[in-house]
Formats: sequence, structure tokens, C-alpha cells
Amino acid sequence: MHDILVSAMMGLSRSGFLNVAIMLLTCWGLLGCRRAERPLIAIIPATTAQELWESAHVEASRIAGTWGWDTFWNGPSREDDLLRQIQIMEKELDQGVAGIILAPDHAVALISPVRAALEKKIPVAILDNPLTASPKEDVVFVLNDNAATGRIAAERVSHYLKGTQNEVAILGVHPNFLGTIVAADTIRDELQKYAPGIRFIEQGSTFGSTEAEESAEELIEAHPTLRAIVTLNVSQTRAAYNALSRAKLVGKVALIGCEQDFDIIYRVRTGEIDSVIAKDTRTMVRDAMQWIHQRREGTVTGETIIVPPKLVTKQNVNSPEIQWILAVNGGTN
Amino acid sequence: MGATLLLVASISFAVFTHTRARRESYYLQHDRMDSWTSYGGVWALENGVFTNNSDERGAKLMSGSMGWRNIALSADVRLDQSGGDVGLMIRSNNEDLGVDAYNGYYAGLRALEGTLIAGRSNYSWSEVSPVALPGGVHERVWYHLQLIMYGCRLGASAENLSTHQTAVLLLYEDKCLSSGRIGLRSLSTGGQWRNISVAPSTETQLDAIATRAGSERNPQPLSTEAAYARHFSHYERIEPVAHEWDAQLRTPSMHLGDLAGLRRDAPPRVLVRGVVTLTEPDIFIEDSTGGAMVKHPQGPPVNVGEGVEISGEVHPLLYSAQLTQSSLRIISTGTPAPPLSVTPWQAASGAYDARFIEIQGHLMREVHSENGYQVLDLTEGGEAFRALYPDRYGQALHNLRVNSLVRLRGVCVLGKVYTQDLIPFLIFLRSSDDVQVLRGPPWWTPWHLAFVSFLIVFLACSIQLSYFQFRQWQKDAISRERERIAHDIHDTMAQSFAGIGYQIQGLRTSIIRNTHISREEIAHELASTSDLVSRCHADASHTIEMLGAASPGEAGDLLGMFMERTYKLSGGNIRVYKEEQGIVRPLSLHIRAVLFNIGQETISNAITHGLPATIAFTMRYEKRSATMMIVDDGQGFDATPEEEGFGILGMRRRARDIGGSLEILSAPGVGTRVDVTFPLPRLDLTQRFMLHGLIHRRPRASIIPES
Repeated sequence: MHDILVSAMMGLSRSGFLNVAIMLLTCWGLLGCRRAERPLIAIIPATTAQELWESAHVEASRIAGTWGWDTFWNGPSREDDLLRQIQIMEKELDQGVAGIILAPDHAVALISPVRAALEKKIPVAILDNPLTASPKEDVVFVLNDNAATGRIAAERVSHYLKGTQNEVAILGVHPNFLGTIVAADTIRDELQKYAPGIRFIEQGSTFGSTEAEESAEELIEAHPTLRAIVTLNVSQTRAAYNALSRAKLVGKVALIGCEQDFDIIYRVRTGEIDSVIAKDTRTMVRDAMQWIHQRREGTVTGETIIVPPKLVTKQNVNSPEIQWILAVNGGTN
Repeated sequence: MGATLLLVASISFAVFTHTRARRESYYLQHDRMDSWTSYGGVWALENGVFTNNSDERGAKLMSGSMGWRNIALSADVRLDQSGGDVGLMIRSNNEDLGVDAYNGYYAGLRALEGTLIAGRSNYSWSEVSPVALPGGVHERVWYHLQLIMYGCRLGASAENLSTHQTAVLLLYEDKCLSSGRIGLRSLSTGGQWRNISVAPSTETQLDAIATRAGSERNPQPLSTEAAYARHFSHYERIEPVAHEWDAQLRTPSMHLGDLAGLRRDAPPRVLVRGVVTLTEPDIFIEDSTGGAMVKHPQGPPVNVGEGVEISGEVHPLLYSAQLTQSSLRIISTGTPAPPLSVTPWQAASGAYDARFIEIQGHLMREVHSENGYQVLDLTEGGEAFRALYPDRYGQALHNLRVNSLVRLRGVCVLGKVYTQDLIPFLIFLRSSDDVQVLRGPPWWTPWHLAFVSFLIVFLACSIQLSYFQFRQWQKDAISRERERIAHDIHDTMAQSFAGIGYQIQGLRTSIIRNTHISREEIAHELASTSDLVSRCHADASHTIEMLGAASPGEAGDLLGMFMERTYKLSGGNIRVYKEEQGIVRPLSLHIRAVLFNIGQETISNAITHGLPATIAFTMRYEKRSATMMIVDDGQGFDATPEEEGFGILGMRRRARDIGGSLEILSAPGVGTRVDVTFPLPRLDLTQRFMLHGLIHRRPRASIIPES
């Protein structure tokens, strides 16, 4: 065989050489098409059901467009559908993406899929809530400043405290989302400064509307002297608002929400909800994209970036700064 | 290479033809779910009506060809709830589980706003301004929906089939998707679809809608919160549902997890809330504390994912409870909670009775049907269990292979009524999506092992048999060659030696008998004998030369031998040429021997009878044959078959021995041409390169000048 090939090469005429060259170029071109694909960034939000993450979507698409990159966008329908988020992540790892931006639905369970990404040398940006593992070379944490969220919430609640008998409910603490624990701790610590005798009622988070509302109703019924409710996610804010609405306590018990969604911001506009402490997911995803780009060039390494939240009230909701944070690409129909 | 190209071309043609055929045939199965693929939802097909019994956001059921381009899609649609929307998808690609997880177009009816909507999703939704449908969009009312896609324009029309009120709108995109499948889709509500039809669309059809719709619109994302707030404030004024629910809502008395602990002797009446996890064969609901079965409740039909409030009598079971004499109200819609992931042992413990779970197991035997259900018998970790899936939802599960590892999602049920005490628990599946094959059966099943063993033995026997056959062929070939050489020697050297023997014997007899024989005569006889010995020696030399060759040579040597022989026989008075045309190929010993003999005879005849001035020897190689041509410019003769002598007949016989033929062209005064055409074996790789012009070798031509 070797002799045949050697003799074939030695005996190549000009036209024969041209034929072989065209064949090789065609093969190289066909193989090269794959190589020439635009880098793809997969953005996997905690859920696709909220405008909170659509703001991140719009920013990621805008930045990718300026770089000539592509984005993939999909996530679970609920924040507690952890298996679905892991499935999406595994699927994207198999696609050979250039980077992954993940808002994890679980602080521990997502560590293994992230490790799998690192084994494939795919940089990963963790958004909003941290994992229990620390950032590494190929992992960046771009987190909401949950302590700041707690401080702002406490400051808003402080306006509604009267005398020495104050009860404040904190809804939505969930160990899967470490940020909620930090925010709740900060709220308690800060409010102790404003009113040392204050009592706190804490309730974990459920993401089904029926059960969340039922829990909120039970809480309101059991604690008629509540001054304020702080909710740490969209599901709890909706549930608390509906429970207050049914109990005809809207405006009587202050409701301060964390995380934005359009129907909730609308209640801020009408004055039914005191305020919402919005997460700046646009800035988070911008920092994450920037880091992945630089990481691909080898100029940065793992770190933690903290992005401050913004308070949205009836007074500032129309300000350009707030509208920029809330802008979305379209949302879901 | 040719065969490969042919194969590739055949496959390409088949794929192209198949794609084209699918694109051009606008056929949808209405009686079976097999050609439909679901992405979320709980889909069923009964009497030509497709139903999604789930409030999941963005449930999809897809069918058709990815090659469908300009089509008209229509169906009657119906919503189960006063919220959410239902509709049709067109030119859709890349679908996945998720709210907007597809790349395509969608048009449908939105209940809360009472509008006809249309837009484009590319994993993010953008829509044109909705158009109000006069009279609104109501639950459990049939509407006819038609989508006309032509070029980059989508026309959508809706008609209330009760009031015949209509609405139309037109969508346009500069850069649109060129083709894709069709689908049924619902969001935050269950729905029904019937009379689904697909046909090629025409520009005239689209223009008819365009005339009614007015200006065409680009899908635009609702990009700011402020814009949404204006929109939201509009439809909040017309939303009655939530408030209706609110007014009647009562505080539940118990959680579902507490029901199993109630007294069994006097069934108490309770008010509970939960989310529907299953609707068939019974309604199952759950909250975070547990689950319960609801028997024949009074109230509206429900879908998976709906939040319900139930008032009824509790009948505690071993691990969960059953609610009877109950009334049911829907209080919310939404995506059902994700399942709890448990092991079969945990499921068998009863802790997850009436709960929506996810579980893994190996399929023990083929999926079969019993009492209207497809039955999956599974085992894992020593626990055997079953999963049931309604037959009328489709036959997709029949494709599962035994010993596959599957992941199931469904409602876990314990209790004798369902398990007959044969298995610890069973799983009620809700859709074919609830079964995910994690790993196919291992290849080393006993059947596979037996098959592979048989294959190995068969191959070994075949190889051995082939080897024996080859050895036999080899022996036969050697025997034939020996026989042929023996014949050759007998025909040539043996005859010559016999002649020499007779001649010497005659001379000896003459000398002994002392007859009158002169010294000159003796010298003459001896000279003649010496000539015979020389010719015999020459024949022996050529035979030895050919038999001694290490490998089959090319014909160039053969033609060279002819030239030498002609030169010697003619004393150098004849000009001789040789030429090879085409791709020079090696010739077997047998062929060379035959050609040599024919050539020798031809040269001898030409010199003896034709007296030529020139003889040309040419060997022309074709792809599968070759021709040896010997042409002289001698006197020629009348070449008629009737006058052929033994010499020519012998030449023909030899030509036939190698599967060839001999042709003689001659006439008095024009010389003679002898052609021997014989078959050649297939080309090897180098020769194929040469044939296709990738390698060039110059043809060899030589001339021996007159001495």
C-alpha cells in the first residue's frame, strides 16, 4: 500500500495534482465549517417564567450580537425544577458551548454539572445565588448583593414600625438559594437596630402558587398584628399580595418584595406594594459575558463580583435607571 | 471510488426524494399519536380530538415535515380555562421543553384579553399587536383558527363557531424562517384541537386575509416595564376570574399529609387545597405535605397543574387518604410541581403514596396492553413495580426495549385496589414524555451472546473452508500448468528431439551398412541435425526463460523477444517496431506463453511466405482486455477461413485457451495483420490512478534499425 501511495504521489501529473488538491480543499472546507461556527453562550436562568431573567436575556443577546456570538436561552418553568435545569445544562455541555451562564436553582446539586463543564474547559459564570463551592479558575460568581438587599428591606420596613410590639414576617427563605439566607439574616440584624424588641416570623419558600398563598393566608391569620412582610422571591411576593388582598389588608400591612416581575412592579405603581428591591440582572449578565470573553483569552481567573440591587418605589419607577434594569426582550406569551 | 460515489449519490437521492415527498405530501395522522411528538403537557387523542389535560406553560405537540414551507394550517380550538391561551404553531424548528422553547411562529387565542395573537419565538417571544375578537374568548367554546403562511407573511384568522364573529391579523418579517413543522400549543390552560388540516397555501389566500387585516405588522417585543404597565392596567379591568375565586375562598382546615391520620370509623368532612397531579383514572392532588385521591368530585373538569379547593369526606387509607362525596373548585392555574426523586424502596415504603414522583427501573418484559392501559413491568434494587399508561394516549411506549433503564415520572399509588397485592406499588403515567430511556438494553443478552458465538464459529468455518478451497484451486492450477507445459514440451522439444533421433539413427544405419554415402553427405546430415539441435535449444531457452520469471512480466519483454527473433530469422533485413498503448499491465505466464507461440508462428509465416520489409508489434491495453497486433507489409494472401491451414487453426486454438480470439486480415498485395484479443483481470489502485489521469506513464516505443 505504501509503495502504491508513494508511486501515486511521484507520478502525479499537474491536472492530477489539481484534482487531489480540490478534493482536499473540499474536505478541509467541510470540516472547517464546524470550526468556523460562532461561539455560543448558553444562558440558563433559574426560571423562564419571570421577567427578572428576561432582562438578563436582552442584555446577553445585545452583547453577543456586538461580538458576533450566538446565545442559547432556556430554563425550567419553575425555580424548584432542579432536574430540568440540570438536564438543560448537560445538554448544552454536550453541544460544546463556549461558555455557560447559570443562575442555579440549588446551591449544592449544581456543583457536579459545573464540574463537568470545567472538565471540558468550558468557563462558567454563576449568577445571582452562589454555590456552596468556591470560584475556581474557570468559574466566576456574579452575585446579587444580598446583604445590601437585606439592608434596603430593613430600612423600608423601619418606616412602618410603631412602639415596642412589632411583628415582621420574612417569607421565602430557602436553603437552595443561599442569597435568601444572607438577606434574611441581614434584615433581622438591621431591624434589631431599629427596634430591639421586634419579633420575626419566618416562612420557607414554596413555588407553587396554591400552596404559597395558603401559607401566606395562614400566617396573616395567625399574626394579626403584623407590621410588614418582606418576601424574598417573586412567588412569595405574589402569594403575600393575594393573601393580603383577600384579607383586605393591602396598605395596612406593608409589603416589601425582593426580585421584580412586571405584575408586581405594577402593584408598586398602584401603591399596593410598598416597594420592590430589584436585582440588576442586566449588569450581572454583562459582567458574566465580559468575564467569559476574557477567560477565553486567558486574561482573567475565577473571582466573585457583587452587583448591588436597586430599590423600586412608586416615586422612582419611571426613572431611566430603573427602567433600564427592568427592560426585557419580550417575556413569555 | 466509483462505487462509493454511486452509493453516496444513491443515498443523497433517496434522502432528497424522501424529504421532497414529505414536503409535498401534506398528510397528518388524526387517529394515532405515533407521528406526533409532545414537549410538555398531558396529551390524548380521542375521536379525532386532541386534548391537553395540563395547565403547563408552553405545552407543545408537534408533527409534520421540517420541509413544509408555504402552507395553510387550520383547526378548531377550545380553551379549558378562562385564562391562558391556545393556538397553532407553524414553520417551527428546534423545539424543546419550556415556555418559548422553539424557533417558529405561533398564532392563537388569548382568553384574558379576548384577543387573537400572533408572533415569533426564538426562545424568546415577540408578538404583533393583538386584535380583539368581538365577543371575547371564552372557555369551552369552539373557535376556528386558520394560519396562512406564504413567503415571509403570516395571516391569522379566528372565528367563533357559535356567533361567527371573526378577527384577522397579519404578521410580516424581513428575515423569516423558511420552513418547519406544525404544532398545537397551549399556555397556562388545557385545551382541545379538532379538524386539523394542512394544505399548500397560495398568495391569493394570504391576500384575502391581508385585505381584511389592513396593514401588516412586524412582531415586536414588549420591551419596557412602563409599556407593560399600561397594557396590564387595561386587562386588569376586564379580568373577573381572580376576584371570583377570591370571594368564595375559604381557609383550608387541613393539609393533605394529615388526612391519613384521621379516624377511620367516622369520616370527617374537611376543606383542603392542592395541585392536580393526575386526572385519569382518578383525580390525584398534592401539596408539600402529602397527596390524596379524589373520587368523582362535583365541579368542573380539571387539568394537571391546576390548584383546586376540595370539600369532602375523608377516608384514610394506610398511607394517604381518599376524598369522597366531594365538591371541587379551581382556584389557580400553573405549571405542576416537579416530581420528588425517589428509589423503588422508598416508594414501596408508602411515604410517597399519592405523590408525584420520579423513579428509575429496568423494563423486565415487553410493553403490553391490559384493560385499556399499556403496562410496563419494571424492577430495580430488588423491587418489582408497574407503570400504567392509557392506551388511548398513543402507542409510543410499545417501542421500549426489554432491559432498558428508564426514568419514569408519575403518581405513585399503593393499595390493593390498584396493585392486587402482587406488587408493592404502581405508577400512573400522564404522557409519553413521562418515560425517558436512560440506557438501552446491554448488548450481551443471552440471545446476543449466542448470536455472536454462532457468528464467530460460522466465520471461522468459512475462513477454513475458503483456505481449503484456495489450496485446492492452487493445486489444480499447478496441475493444469504442468499438463500444459508437458503438452508444450511434447509439441515442441520432444518432437524436435524425436526428429534429431531419427536423423542420427538414419545416419548411423547408413554408416553401418556401408552404403555409398559420401563424406559431404554425412557432413550435410550432421549440419541439418545441428540446426535441429539449435532450434530445440532455442525453444528450451525460451521456455526456461518464461518459467524462470519471478513474476508475470509485461508484454514489453515479449515484444522484445519477437523483435530479436525477427531480426535473427531475417538476418537483419526486416525493419521491426514495437509499441505499447494504454496502461501497461502484467500478463500471466500462461498468457505470455500463448502469445509467444502465436507470435512465433506469425513471424515464421510472414518471413517464409510474405517477404515483408517491415513488421510492427503492438500491444494495446484496454480496461478489461488487451490486443496483440502483428502487422507486416508483405505480399499477403487470400485470408478465407476455408483455406486456413493447421498452423492458423493451432493459433486459434491457443487464443481460445486464454479466453480470447484471433483475427487475421489479409489480401494479396496489402500485407497481413494478425490480432489476438484476450481478457485482462481488474485494475489495481495504481492502474486506476493512471486510468483517471492522476498518474501518467509515457508509452514506450522502440525501433531496431536495420543493421
